[in-house]
Amino acid sequence: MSFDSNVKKSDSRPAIAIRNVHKEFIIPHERKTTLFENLLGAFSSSTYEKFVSLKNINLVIEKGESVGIIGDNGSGKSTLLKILAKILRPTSGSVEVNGRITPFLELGVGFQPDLTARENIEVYSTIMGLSRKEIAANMDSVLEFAGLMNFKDTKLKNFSSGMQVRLAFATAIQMKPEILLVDEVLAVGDMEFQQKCLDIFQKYKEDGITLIFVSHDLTAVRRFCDKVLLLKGGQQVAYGNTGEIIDRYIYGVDKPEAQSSSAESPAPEANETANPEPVKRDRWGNQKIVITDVTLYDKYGNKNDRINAGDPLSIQIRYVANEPVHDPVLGIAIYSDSGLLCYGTNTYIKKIELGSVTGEGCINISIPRVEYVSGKFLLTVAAHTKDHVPLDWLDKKYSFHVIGTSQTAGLFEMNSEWSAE
Amino acid sequence: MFDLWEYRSLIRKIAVTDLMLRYKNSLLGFFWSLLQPLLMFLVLFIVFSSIFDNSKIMYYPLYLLLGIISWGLLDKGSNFSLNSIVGKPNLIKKIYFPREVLVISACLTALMMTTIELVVFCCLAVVYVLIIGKTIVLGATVLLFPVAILLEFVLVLGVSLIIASLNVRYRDIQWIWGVVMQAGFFVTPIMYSMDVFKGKNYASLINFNPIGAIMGLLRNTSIYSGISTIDVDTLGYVTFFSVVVLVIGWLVFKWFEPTFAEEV
Repeated sequence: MSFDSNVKKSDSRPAIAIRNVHKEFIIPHERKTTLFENLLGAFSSSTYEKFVSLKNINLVIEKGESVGIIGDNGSGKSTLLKILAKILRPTSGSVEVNGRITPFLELGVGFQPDLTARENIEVYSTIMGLSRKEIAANMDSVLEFAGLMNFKDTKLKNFSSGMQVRLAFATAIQMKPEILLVDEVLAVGDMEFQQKCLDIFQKYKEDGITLIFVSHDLTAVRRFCDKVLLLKGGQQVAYGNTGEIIDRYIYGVDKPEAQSSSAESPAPEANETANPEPVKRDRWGNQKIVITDVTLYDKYGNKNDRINAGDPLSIQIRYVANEPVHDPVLGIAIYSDSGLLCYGTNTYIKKIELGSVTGEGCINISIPRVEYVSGKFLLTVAAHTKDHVPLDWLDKKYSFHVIGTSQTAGLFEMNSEWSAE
Repeated sequence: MFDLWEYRSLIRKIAVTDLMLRYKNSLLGFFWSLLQPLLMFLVLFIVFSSIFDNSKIMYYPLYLLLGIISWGLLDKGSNFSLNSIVGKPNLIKKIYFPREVLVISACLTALMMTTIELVVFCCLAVVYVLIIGKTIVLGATVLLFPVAILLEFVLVLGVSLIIASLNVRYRDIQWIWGVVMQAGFFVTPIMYSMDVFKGKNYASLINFNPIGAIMGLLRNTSIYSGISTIDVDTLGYVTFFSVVVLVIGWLVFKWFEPTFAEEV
């Protein structure tokens, strides 16, 4: 469309400049949607609260940069993306956009179940801003990419959800964007589809397209983004190089209890995820020894259940012996999310003699490198006697997350030397 | 307002798609859009021919049918528009385009249906002429007929912009509007002529009804084009009124538009 001329003239201008953006939502306590309710409401004072979704966001994104936006749920990531896409308007502040924005906030916007695949491609492409000629020229390649050539005149309602997603994605990527906004699109679809998405984004990145990427998938953020914006409670906590900011997010160095001098603004509330939450109710044993607390620590010594792959992790197990127990064994086992036993050991195997224990005690396990690739892992902590009578067995009650740092596939990292001849 | 031109293909696409979707799952499909005004015509014709003395109205069946068709443009246009914003929350919340695109498309859908009805009207007019055995002489003013339709479209668009944007915040507009349209149907000379008000003191008030004035214009530039001249005052009044309503509609729409994504 006619934005093109605009872009060529202004190559020195940033792709996006966000200045002092605030966004407030007014949430009435009793929502009045009808005139009648509004008339009634005129007599009683209406109560509402302001929810501040974004506070004083300042950001300049140069052309060709890939920027990730990360943060917990409700931190304002999606709101910021919607403001960039012009769907929401900021309460104050300004957003300058130089270039055509292609939003991938949701795939298949405007899909109609009663239209055929071909008709839906036409509608969706038109919404994305393609001309009739371009749509006609691209039609076959879109259908082919989606693998739906034989279903081009089938109504969308007869498609499986996977087919719909494929159709939507194939339609969405037919036009090379200038600025691409992506919001968790990758969360839908199977592994193969996600890989396909990632490959396309990789290609876009190499082609110098400005990419703004909102995701909880930190592995993907690490892979695509040069810079990362960390939001917390609507505030801009940090903006900088990807590795550094993701570390800050995972290890929470912005939390009040962390004595870090690099914190720009102290985060208002402590992060509750630091305590590994019990996963299942599975506990047995004769309770002669009771495991009172299991805590995971990251490389900064903070409580954390999220660890970067390759970083150290330590586990502290606290217990109380209600009566003297002779030579108990304390152990751990780590399972993958699918239940595969990945690692298990105990004080007996490690040749640590606890002797006769009474009262409180503590075991510290230090793992210098977490050699898992990524994913969620379950932790069993148990105390038992040498002849395997369970004292206190907490089966898979704890969990931690390993955040991938590379594109390696599988469960474990292995050292491998590669050479080509 | 000017960036709308860039979205012309989107406007067209949504208008055509909505037209297609409307009858996609009905057996008679598109013919319903024609059958509905024709059935309405039959009912009104039978009822009002026996109650009122309409023999004074020349070519009464064509008079009535044209009234129904032009009322239909307002009725369909406004009702499609009423749901054009609140009925597409996934579009409003997920992607940006000027929101008035949806209202313009809805009105265009109605205009397309009216156009097809008018084609059918022409065919029926020929049949009517063959039955009564008299020819209807058309005058040069028939060229102004499209202008009159355009004026009605401008008026419908203006009204639609107002009610569509108000409906996002106050959902009772959609219920009130049904009553307004019902009342409008009876104070507009669709099945009767303005002559029935002759001598009544509120006759001049009813003359101000813009949709009635447009209807008169439509009739005078078609079935009566051979025997009547164009009333320049009426044409001026209707043009002025339609443009003012469109401007007001535009301003109201722009006032409400920024919060659509939050309230829809």
